[in-house]
Amino acid sequence: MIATEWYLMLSAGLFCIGLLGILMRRNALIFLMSVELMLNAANINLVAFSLQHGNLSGQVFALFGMALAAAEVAVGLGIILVLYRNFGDIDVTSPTTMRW
Amino acid sequence: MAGIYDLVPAIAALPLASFVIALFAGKDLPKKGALPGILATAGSLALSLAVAVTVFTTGEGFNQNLYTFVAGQDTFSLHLGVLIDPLSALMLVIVSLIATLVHVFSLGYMNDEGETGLPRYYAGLGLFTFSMLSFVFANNILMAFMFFELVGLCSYLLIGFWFREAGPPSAAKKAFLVTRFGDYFFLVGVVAIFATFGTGAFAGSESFPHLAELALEGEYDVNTFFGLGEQAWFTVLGLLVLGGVMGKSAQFPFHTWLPDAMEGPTPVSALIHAATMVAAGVFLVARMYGFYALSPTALAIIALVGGFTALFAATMGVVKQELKQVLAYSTISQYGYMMLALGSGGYVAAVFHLTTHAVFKALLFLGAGSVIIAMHHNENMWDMGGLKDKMPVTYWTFLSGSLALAGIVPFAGFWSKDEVLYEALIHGLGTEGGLGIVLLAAYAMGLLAVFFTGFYTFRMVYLTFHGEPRSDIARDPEPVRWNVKGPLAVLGVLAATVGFINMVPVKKVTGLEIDYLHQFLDMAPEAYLTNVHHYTELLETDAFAGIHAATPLGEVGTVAASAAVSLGLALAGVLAARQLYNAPQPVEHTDRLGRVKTILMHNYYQDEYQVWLARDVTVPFAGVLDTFDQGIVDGVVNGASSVSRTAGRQVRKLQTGVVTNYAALLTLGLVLLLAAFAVVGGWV
Amino acid sequence: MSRPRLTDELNPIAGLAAVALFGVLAAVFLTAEFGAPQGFEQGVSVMDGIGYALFDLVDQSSLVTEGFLFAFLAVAVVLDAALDGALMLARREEDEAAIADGGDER
Repeated sequence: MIATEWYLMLSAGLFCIGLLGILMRRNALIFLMSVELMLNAANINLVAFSLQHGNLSGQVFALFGMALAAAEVAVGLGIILVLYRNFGDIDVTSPTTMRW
Repeated sequence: MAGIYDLVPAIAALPLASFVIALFAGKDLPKKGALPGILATAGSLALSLAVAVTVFTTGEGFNQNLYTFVAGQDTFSLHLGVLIDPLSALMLVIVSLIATLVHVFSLGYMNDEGETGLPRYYAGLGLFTFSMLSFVFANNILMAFMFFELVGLCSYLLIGFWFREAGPPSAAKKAFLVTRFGDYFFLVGVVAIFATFGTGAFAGSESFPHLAELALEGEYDVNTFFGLGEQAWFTVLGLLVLGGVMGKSAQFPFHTWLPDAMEGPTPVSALIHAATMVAAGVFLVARMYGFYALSPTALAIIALVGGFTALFAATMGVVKQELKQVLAYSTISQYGYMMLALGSGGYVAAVFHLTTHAVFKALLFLGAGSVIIAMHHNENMWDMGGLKDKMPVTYWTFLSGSLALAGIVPFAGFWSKDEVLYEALIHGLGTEGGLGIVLLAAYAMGLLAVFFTGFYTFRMVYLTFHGEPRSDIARDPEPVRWNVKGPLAVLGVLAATVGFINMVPVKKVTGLEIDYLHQFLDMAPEAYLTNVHHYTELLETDAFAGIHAATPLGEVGTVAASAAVSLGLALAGVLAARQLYNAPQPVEHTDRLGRVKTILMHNYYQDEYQVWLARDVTVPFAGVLDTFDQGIVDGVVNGASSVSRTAGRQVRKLQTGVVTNYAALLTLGLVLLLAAFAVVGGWV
Repeated sequence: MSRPRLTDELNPIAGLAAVALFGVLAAVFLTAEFGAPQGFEQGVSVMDGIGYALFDLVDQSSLVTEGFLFAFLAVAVVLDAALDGALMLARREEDEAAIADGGDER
């Protein structure tokens, strides 16, 4: 068996790659993809601990996580559409009206 | 008649009631509030006479706290109380008599002349009479201060009675400000007296004069401040209270308000600025004489100020052209005599002169009021003349008052002024050191002022009443009624006779015990420590004032010589005035004085000097303080607020509106939080 | 044929925060002690177990789990709601024209 900490390292790596995408990229669609990556990293974490404790609840929870990720993407795409209509561009740094 | 003492507060309450009636119901009354005033002051006069007779016959007094308005825990309390001893009984009679006569005179001066606003006038007179009477029977210095200020307020209200013209409000403001300046020092003195002695009572064994005496003998501990010794500190206290006295009694340099106060109605001038309010200062010194007698420096300053003011004001009275102005400077000068007497240890002489002056000065002012009515309010003496045939009652009473003022025997002023000068002379000769020299210098100034007094008084009489009429109004003056002539007649008789209550020269020559005033003032109960022989003891103790009397020509010889000299100077002044002004068409001889006359007409530029002090010294200083207040004090407050505003303006730039910035900050925060938990939890 | 290139729209400074986070997480995970993983029984079907868990029929499988029926139904509702929300966001106002040019017009 592979020791649990390597699964956790994989999960941390994926999470931080997703976080890098959120912090560094300006395209809104890439932003959504990065958010998906972070959610999937969390899923890997859940499954790893399900194996660690011998309890299936972790895997069921991961299934629910995937479903929620799908729902979130659906709504997110709708928001990007509205963003494009209002600002003419899907760059996330262009809507700066809610500032000081 | 011990029950009479329970009615003493009514002496002041009656005029207070007339104030309230005149204020609220005056416009509905037939004489607009005069009758309640006359009845109230007459009632006060009757009660005062009853009290004085009781004191005279029984020799008892009354000294009680009637109302405690601050009850101190572990410290002193503040009371209102009544002190009746011969001095205050005498003053009550004087004040209520003059007040009654002035109220009757006002019927003629104000009501008959058709003046408007009379309810306000009679209300002011009532409030003034209440305050002055309460001041007289006050038994502690704080109560005296309260009523001292209240009479100042009434003076302001009454001087500015005709406030729609330009002069009266300005004069009222000046009077109030100048006296208030002196009263500031008085207030500091009152507080200091309480801080030093823990009491402000005037009479009794727990009074502050007696405690001061015990402190100087080493039998009592008092708090002194600024590291001064006891006698030096008591001198400071005396001088602080003297500030208020000099302001109220119009002594140099606080005399500038009194001539301007003549803008008020003449009955007001007679009551307030001749006989009563200005007497309040002198009365206060006499009331606290047991305290002043402990300090030779304070007495020297009092005598010097008094003597100087007597001469200073008398020189200014010589050139004045308006009737009331001459009388105003005369008032300043005569109060100088009273201060001279108090400073040289002549307590009885000062009180005697206070009494006679109240009578003859009120008489002269009321006489001037009668002339002013006749002349349709033209006060310039050069427009008068020849009035003695047209106004006989006014003339003869005015002449009686003038003879009293000039000090011609046997009128009242001769006896009292002569006693003042005699006391100054013998104490100046008998006291050693600086105090003796100061007293003699003050005596010299007072003596010289006698000549000027005689001169300006009779210049006034001759210009007003003698000679040919110099204007149409003088040829046909307005007649005056009984309500003017009555008070004049009463005061005229008094001016001739009141001197007989204390004829000291006659007593010394013949040995008869006719110095009734001296005996009356000596009658105060021993327990109060306010009688004359107690004061004499204090004065003669070298550790205190150290004033002694010396009679180089023997008692009889000295008194006769002093009387002869002062009478001679007074007659010389009268004859000089007669020589110059008793002509059918008199000429203004003072023009020959040239430059001197200009200085005198400008009152030695004292008014300009005080305006300069206010405008060019105080206003810039106030500007500096204002800059400090606005710049520094307000600056600190504004600065504190601007710090937070500037900080906020910078911190808000964190809200950039860009989502990725927020995510970055979030991540950074999370990292730092995890690291912090790791370190604190001991993981590293 | 153009090959893919790294975009130049990056702002790299912010990425350091993510790298720092990875560093912290790695340090924690590598130094933690987990013990041996328990694992599951050999030969038992995991998929069946998950299915039974979703319908609260926990006794049918010998694997340790708990019932998730309520969560199952809730996620069904949430997915439905998300779909409706996306449709509502994508709807246009009446007078707007459909853009069919990929966005070049604006």
